[in-house]
Amino acid sequence: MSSLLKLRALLYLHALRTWRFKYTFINSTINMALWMAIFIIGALIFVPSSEIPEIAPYMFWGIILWTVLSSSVWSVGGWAWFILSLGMYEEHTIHNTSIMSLLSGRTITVVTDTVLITPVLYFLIRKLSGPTASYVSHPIAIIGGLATMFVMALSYGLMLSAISFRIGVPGTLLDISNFLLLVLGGIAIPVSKLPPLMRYAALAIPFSYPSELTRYGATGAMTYLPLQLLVLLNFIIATSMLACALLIYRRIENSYLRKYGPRAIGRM
Amino acid sequence: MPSSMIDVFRAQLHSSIYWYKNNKWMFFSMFLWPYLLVGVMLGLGALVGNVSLFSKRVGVVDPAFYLLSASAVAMSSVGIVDAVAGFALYNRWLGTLNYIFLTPIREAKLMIAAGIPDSIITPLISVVAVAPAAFYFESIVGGLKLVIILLIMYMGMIPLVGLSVLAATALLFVREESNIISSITPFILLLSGVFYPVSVLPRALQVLSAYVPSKYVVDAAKLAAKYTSMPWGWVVLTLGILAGLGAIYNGVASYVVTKAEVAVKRKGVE
Repeated sequence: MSSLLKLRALLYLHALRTWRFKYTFINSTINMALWMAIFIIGALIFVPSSEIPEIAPYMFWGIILWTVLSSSVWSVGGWAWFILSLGMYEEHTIHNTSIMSLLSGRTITVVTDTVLITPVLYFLIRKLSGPTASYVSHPIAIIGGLATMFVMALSYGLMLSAISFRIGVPGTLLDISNFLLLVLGGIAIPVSKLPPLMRYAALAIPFSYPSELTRYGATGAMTYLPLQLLVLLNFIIATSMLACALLIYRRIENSYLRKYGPRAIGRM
Repeated sequence: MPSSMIDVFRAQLHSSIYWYKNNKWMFFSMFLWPYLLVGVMLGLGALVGNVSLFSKRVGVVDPAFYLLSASAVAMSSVGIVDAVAGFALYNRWLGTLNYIFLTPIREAKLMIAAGIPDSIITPLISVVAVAPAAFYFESIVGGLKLVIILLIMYMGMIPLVGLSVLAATALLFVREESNIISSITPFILLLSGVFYPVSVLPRALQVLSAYVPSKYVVDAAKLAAKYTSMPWGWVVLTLGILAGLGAIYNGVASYVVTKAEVAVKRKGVE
């Protein structure tokens, strides 16, 4: 089967599945939006009214970026569990289709999820922050930040699922790490506003770079690192993570899974 | 062999205990979750605003104690709704729902009884998880307040089980693989005002929140964080409201499940 045909098959599979399980999909979007609303309202209660227009855009884009990260990791991890439960892992392997390609198709669901959730959260937070807050200042920077976040989140999800096929990663660990990344990873809060030690921790976590870029795109505020350096590092990190994910997956698929079979994320 | 609600309760209790034994990470993480939620909320709040403003707006003296108890309430509500609504769904996945429906017990009793063990276990774990922090912040008084909150949680559990049984009934008729109404949990929490006063919500949501059982449990946590002793008059009123809501929700759930049982048995479980 040619690569193009495989790509078409994968796109078709995920698009069709999203359509067939439309209630599940709509529910997951509402679910995510409601959880985010609880946290946004909760966090804004700490903020003096006069500072809400400044903080609200950080919160909004932080939550959107976190949604991308969280739903990529869970979508890829959840599907790894799902295809194993149905016995589809072996089916795809004997048809010479990489499980990694199959899981990468979850990007469709994640993108659609994010596209649906963004306006809902925007209206909510806009209502809370008032008309003076700036949410879009440099659209290209926002697109760049979101795109690299997608690549990083997908790569992270793929790496975790590859490792989980071999060692079994408890799903609850993913939940915990995702939560910690919201604050420690510089996703919801600008790196410059973090205490010094946490600032270094955030700079060591890849997701802080697309978050900084997106925040710059939203408010035009200065980034912690010089802008050109930030863009360059962001690109290098996203590319390296994708390369690492490909490498790890190939290695685990070829040298381990074909011999010993898989383990999985989640309830198993 | 005749089966009663007690048999179903015992069977589900065994099942839940073994599920926790086989999912040790999951069990362990349940003790971490309240701290994680509070850490994220307080960390986020302190970095972008200030904690004293939060205390003033929510009307609590000890924000850490309040957030811990509120997180325990939130976790318990999530656990109860998931356990009850997930019962039908999980057994459908396993292919055992058909056999469960063939047992002599009525479905309404079955679903309510099957939801009780997790409704007892989850709040207990949540409260045990936050107990060390409660003792740290308020010593023995903090521990006593937690016991009262646990009791109110158990009262709040009764209407929540009815609400969850209604959700589980809806799942019997949908041909999808996952819990398509899982968003009911964050909606309940949104209306309960777990991390904020309900007064910040739009008027319509404020009205709806009066019908949400966990709102009263969250209010109890707020009061516990506000006073050195509980206002007993308020506690009695809350218990009365929860008993009323319990009667309404469970009554409606029994009626709906009885109707659903007839329909499901006629067309079979998919």
